[in-house]
Amino acid sequence: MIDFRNVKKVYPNGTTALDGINLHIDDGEFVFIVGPSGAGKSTLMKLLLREERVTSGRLTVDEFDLVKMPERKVPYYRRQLGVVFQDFRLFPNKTVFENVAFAMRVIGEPSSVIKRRVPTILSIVNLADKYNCYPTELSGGEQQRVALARALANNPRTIIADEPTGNIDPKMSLEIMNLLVKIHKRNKTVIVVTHEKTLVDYFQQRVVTIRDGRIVDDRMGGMF
Amino acid sequence: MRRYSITYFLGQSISGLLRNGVMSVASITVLMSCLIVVGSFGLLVLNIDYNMENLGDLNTISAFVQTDTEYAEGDEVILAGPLKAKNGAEFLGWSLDPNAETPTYAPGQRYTINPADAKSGKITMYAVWSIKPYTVDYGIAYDMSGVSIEGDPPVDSGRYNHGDEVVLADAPTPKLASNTFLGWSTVPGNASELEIMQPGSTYKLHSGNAVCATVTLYAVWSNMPVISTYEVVYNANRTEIEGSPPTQDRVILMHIAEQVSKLDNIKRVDLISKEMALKEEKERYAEYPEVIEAVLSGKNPYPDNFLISYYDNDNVATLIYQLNQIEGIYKVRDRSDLAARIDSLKSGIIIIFSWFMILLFVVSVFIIMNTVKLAVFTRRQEISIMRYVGATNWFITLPFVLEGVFIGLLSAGLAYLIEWYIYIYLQRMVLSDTIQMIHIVSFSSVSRWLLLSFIGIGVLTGVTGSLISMRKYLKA
Repeated sequence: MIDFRNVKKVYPNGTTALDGINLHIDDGEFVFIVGPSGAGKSTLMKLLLREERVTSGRLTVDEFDLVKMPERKVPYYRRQLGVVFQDFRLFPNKTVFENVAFAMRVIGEPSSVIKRRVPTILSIVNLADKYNCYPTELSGGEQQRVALARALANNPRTIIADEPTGNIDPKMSLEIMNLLVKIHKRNKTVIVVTHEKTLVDYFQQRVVTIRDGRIVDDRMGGMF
Repeated sequence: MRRYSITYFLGQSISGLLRNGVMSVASITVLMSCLIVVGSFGLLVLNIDYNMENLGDLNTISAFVQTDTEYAEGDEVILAGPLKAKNGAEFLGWSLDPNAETPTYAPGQRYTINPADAKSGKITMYAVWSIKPYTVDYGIAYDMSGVSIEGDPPVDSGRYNHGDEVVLADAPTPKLASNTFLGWSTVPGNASELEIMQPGSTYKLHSGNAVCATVTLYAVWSNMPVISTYEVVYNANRTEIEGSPPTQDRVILMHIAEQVSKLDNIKRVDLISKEMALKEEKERYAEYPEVIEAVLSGKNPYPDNFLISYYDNDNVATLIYQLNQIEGIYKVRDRSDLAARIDSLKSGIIIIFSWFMILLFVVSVFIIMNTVKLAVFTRRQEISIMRYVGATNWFITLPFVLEGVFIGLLSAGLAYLIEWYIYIYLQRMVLSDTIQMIHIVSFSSVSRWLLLSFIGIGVLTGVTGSLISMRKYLKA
């Protein structure tokens, strides 16, 4: 459960990126966050990832109070999330297997568990046969799927995708989205930040619209 | 169930090192060079200290003694100390008359050289005993009358009675060819005044010619030397004594040694006789016989000296002054200046090396910092990805730290091997030289410490380098 209570974010240079955000997302919801560029979508992401801290207001994700949380607890919070980025952010010098496994190594999973689980996850994203390839050998869509697999590695409660289809051709974009829906069906909260109108319209989920640092619309099956 | 596998981290660090191949090699080379410089410096200082110890007790002074025993008329001479007779007789003193019953001079008393007391340049002091000695038989002595000859003077070890016939010795050969041997005489003096006997002829021993049971036969030459210097000789006077009769140079030395021992702050006094000094120098130049021939043959040029070691370094000046006041000591050399010289040499080396080391360290720190910065910069993205996935700081840092450890270990190992090679090579070079004075500490005695300290410094540097460079990228 994610709860923004009157969240304001002002950057050191004076710009107000978010001006009083009130947003509540329940467990298991699928939410699109849309808006023009500069509206504050990326700031919202950064706050959720605890990359930035709120200037004022309250922000809770499940049992984590992101406002009061000390720096050293941040890694433990982030392990509860599965994040997918527009630029994939895979380790170029690790294989697909190792990229996915890394998430598990971070939390100290023994090798036996890793060996068992990674192939399973890779098959969810239909990449089981590519486990030994390097990211440079894969297409954009395949790389994103690896990122998705990594996001799923530790069975997080929440998946956050920041412009997941930004660097991918339209056909593959649909596949990625379908995977996200598939993941959502497994009782995960899925948040997708995007500006792809066609996808938003196609999938008919809750749509939260942000403009100029404020939420201007929030409805089911909303239109972009 | 959490299990962080060390093999994982080791694998990560090794693959990291290999990926940064060139830079890893650069770092290792630089660190290894630093270690070799540090190691060489340490070994050099160690060897200097070791040699300083081997030079003996440096708290010593050398006091050089004038033991020239050729005296001129009017010189004052210290007479020898008491003798010990085997027959239990008590030593009473010295006299110029072997038949005196009371001594003229006490042992240790001063005597002024009087040419009237001399025969052929020798003034003989006879021991006076409580048990009056008597003559049993007579011996023959040959005196060269002050002329230098080739080889040794003739010796007749026979014992004769009054009236016995003695065959006179062959003519000695003078060193100066212009001088001619004329014959033997029972009395010293010039040829024109004497009764001269030929070598090989028979001499009928007359007790009247004897002094103290010895008949002295003087060589008569065509050019008799003018006697201007006199020697003091001691005679045990027909009594068997413990040891041999004193010689004047020994007397002087003992007298000085006694005075030195009475001074404050004296730990130990050793005599280095002129013979010992000569022997040492001959050994030192054993490879250069020409030098020995040219310089060291003939009269021994070395003085006797006393090696005096003292306790308190602070009062050395006083001691030196006191030693200089002692009659007979003409030069005092303080070995603490040798110690001071070695100390300043050591300081000089330390200063030079320190500057060199500082320079080297500055350069290498610069290189290592940039190497690691570059490595970390290219890994910056990797590090941030790791943070997104929820890796803690130590999880991220550990492989980098292990990389530093590996660099340190490799550098240490290579530095150790190279140092070993260099040291053994130098050791061989020094030992093959004839200079036996320099001792080299054996490598095996320092090898363990060397390796451990190399590893210690290497690993410390590697880890510190990694941590410092990582710190910037670990914040948020």
